[in-house]
Amino acid sequence: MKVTVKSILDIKEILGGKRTIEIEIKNSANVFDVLQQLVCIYGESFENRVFEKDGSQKPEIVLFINGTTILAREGLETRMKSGDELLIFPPVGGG
Amino acid sequence: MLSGGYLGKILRVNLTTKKVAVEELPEQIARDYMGGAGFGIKYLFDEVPKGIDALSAENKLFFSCGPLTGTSAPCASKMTVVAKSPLTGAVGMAVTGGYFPAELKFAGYDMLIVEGKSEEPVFIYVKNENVSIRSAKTVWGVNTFDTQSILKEELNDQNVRIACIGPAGEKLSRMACIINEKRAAGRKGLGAVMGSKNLKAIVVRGTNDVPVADEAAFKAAKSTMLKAMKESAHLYPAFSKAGTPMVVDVTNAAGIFPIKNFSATGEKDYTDSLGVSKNNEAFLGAGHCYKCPVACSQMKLVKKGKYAGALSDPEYESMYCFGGATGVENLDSIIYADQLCDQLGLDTMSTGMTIAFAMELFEKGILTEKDTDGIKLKFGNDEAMTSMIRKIAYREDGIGELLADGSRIAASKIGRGSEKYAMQVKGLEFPGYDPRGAKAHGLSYATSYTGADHNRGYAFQEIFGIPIPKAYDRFASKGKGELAMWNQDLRTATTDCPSMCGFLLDMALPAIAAQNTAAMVNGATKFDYTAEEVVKVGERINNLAKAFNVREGLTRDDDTLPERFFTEVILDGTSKGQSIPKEEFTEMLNEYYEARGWDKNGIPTREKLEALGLENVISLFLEMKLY
Repeated sequence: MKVTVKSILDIKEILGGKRTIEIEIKNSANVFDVLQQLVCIYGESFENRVFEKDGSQKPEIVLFINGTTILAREGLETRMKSGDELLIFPPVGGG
Repeated sequence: MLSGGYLGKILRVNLTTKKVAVEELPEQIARDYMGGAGFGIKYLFDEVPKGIDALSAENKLFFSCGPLTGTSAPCASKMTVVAKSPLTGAVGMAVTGGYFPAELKFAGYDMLIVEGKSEEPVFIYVKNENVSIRSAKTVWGVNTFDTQSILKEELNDQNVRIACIGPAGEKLSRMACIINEKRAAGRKGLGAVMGSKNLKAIVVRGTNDVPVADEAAFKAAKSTMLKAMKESAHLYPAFSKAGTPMVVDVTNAAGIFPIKNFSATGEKDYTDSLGVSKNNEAFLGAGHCYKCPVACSQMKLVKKGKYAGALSDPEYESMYCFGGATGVENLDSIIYADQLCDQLGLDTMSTGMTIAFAMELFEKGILTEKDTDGIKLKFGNDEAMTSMIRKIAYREDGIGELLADGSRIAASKIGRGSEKYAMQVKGLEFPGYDPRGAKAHGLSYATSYTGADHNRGYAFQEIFGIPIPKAYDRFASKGKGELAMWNQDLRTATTDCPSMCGFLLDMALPAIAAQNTAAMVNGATKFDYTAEEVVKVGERINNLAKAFNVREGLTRDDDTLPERFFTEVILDGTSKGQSIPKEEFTEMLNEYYEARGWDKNGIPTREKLEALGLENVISLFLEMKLY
């Protein structure tokens, strides 16, 4: 199935400079699987930006599915559906 | 006895009688209200009579610092200005940073109270214990930047700090702000209160230190705070390099960047035109407030084109109100609009949103070129947008006079169904987050004692996904009453009172904000606040401010949002399909009142007021036959 990955600021640059990309993932995939897929495509720079050395997700990386934080759902284990949008962004504040 | 952090002195200047007095700051008030917004609102409630005209001599201005202002605490650069707001009729409270607040403490005062009205334009000159009221004839009619330069020359002292109004304040625009250096006590029309008193400026020079009571405890607390700041992935490097305009990228991605007066949120992505990359092209240098190691202020210079030479530091909110809200994508025009508002002494947010309101009326044919002095006031027209600012500030005949007092008053003059396009709560125009996609944030707009104010209860959980005290689904409504209250009380207690920069709360200290405030204030003052008591100070102040508003006639009906958010869904983008149906909003508001311990009409209960030590409010409510 296809899902959309949206990113901003420095994460967007790591993901090829495009605000939105579409990727193909297996039907039962969760958020962690999508991130792993992105590591396969974009390599070390993405891996180092999103994951700690021990493989856990860096806490300051923010992940929204269809606009809401994955932390209000099942975190990295939140299942993706076809057409879902995963937004990845770095720590932002102010305003 | 107050032993540090506070100077223990309140300076009172009466412009009618020309009397200057120094009063003692009562220790119990310091303990119960901490400082900043707390002092201002406490004195406003006690001293300003019920039902006065906010632009009459009976209104008072409270320039109030916190116990950390002027100490070596990082980012404690702030001061609040409080008065009855001429824009809302409710508590008017705005925060400013820069260097003026610390200077007021160096001069020896925790708070300056200005009352009465001068017959002639004057400024107040405070040099430590020497206080005088002087003629402001040479600077009346002069913009805020030149006023500061001229007064420094006249006083032959380049080290004074000056808070002043521009032409908009003199002309009593209810959107007028107070400018010190290039910072602003921006919102709620407090500049018009200064103007109504014929008070052009307050000039301060102080040469004393602000002592702290327990050096060792203060130093230890400061080092914990600095460590949290240093380790914050939010502050460094991103925020220190990009400042608040980086929020443009987030709110666009999340589909809550308001477009065309909230009629087209999500329709377009403004990141390329107004986001960080575009802003960086105009970057000139960074600016600090007093004792700030972050320097988020981003000075931008327009180097070519029709706005060449414009120089300003527009924040996110200026990007939104002069950009998305008016449909303008020309960053140069926003830099120019921001500079113009600072110089003329206008709140950028209310001004931008009032122009956006007029643009929507023009698009709908409610206003025509006959009303706009021949200007095609269409969304996206940057020249039309910038041309409105001077007209508003000087109340020029026609469209300037019509818009000079904000969207609510303009709508009441225009009629013909225009009221529903005024994006305001209690008369205060909206900040740059569409509440349909951030519901606790929206509920905070509806319930804040100042009106639609993002800084009185910023829902960083929804907007930035920060999971403290826990993670929240920003589209859900359940649990948002409690969250809105939590955000409001924490913000009041940890930033508006001590008085600390609000950005630290969501970016460096969200998990330890109350403990941090307790440790810092205890070190400075030798008080013994616990984290819970700090939050209770915030709760006390929010209840007292609510009581002031009840006294002034505001009711549950004023705790609401514009109809658009109840009936129109966001049509595109990541928040597509979102609205806040009226029934859902009613439930959220009920939940909020319940969490606060208020009755169904939003009146604080007797039990709640007793628990907060607000017996004077109980007496008021008995008098008003509310119990």
